[in-house]
Amino acid sequence: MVDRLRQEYEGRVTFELINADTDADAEALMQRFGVNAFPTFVFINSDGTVAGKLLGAVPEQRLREKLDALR
Amino acid sequence: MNGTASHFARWAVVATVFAVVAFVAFRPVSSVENVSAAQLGELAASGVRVIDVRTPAEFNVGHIPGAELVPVAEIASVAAGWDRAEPLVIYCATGQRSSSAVQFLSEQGFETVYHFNAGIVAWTGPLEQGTTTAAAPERTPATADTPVMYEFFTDW
Repeated sequence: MVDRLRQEYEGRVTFELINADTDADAEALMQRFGVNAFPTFVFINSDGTVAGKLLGAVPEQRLREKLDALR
Repeated sequence: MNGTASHFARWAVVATVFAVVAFVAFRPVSSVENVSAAQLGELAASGVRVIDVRTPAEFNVGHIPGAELVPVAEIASVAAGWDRAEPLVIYCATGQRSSSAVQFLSEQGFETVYHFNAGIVAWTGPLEQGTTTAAAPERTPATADTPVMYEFFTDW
């Protein structure tokens, strides 16, 4: 699902997939965004402000709403 | 001769039944109980060991004060040396990984296993941070001028 959304939103939203087990930046990013459970989706506006966070098995429609609201 | 054999067989059956009943009655019985955040707090305050089965990265971001880190992938090897009579509280993020850890510990004969099955997302108390010091987090997205969606996931 995320792969499909990534293709659909290409050029409008950058998708960063962070594997907490293997990604070297994972811990720092988790601390930055207060992530302590998986999966968690964090939405960042282009000015760097956090637009929202979703936790768990999120329906595609909820992701789309968040993605569409990014500015 | 026939009567003696019959008598012996009867006693053998009685002895076998007695042995089975004694085994069932006196073997250590594993008890698993789901607990709430409040109950977990009380158990931890009373000195019960609290085991966090998430990953080191998750643990370092924040864990229940006093919890020990034993990632679920390591529970079999680490718990092999534990006292099976000592009560344990097990938790993870949402209860999925801890369920498999609890099942394993129960099967291994741990007598009292408390399961904080709602996971740390349901924990409303204070969190303790790990000792790992993370570098200043400033990951630059591939395209700086566009919004970003991060997805944090694990292999579990």
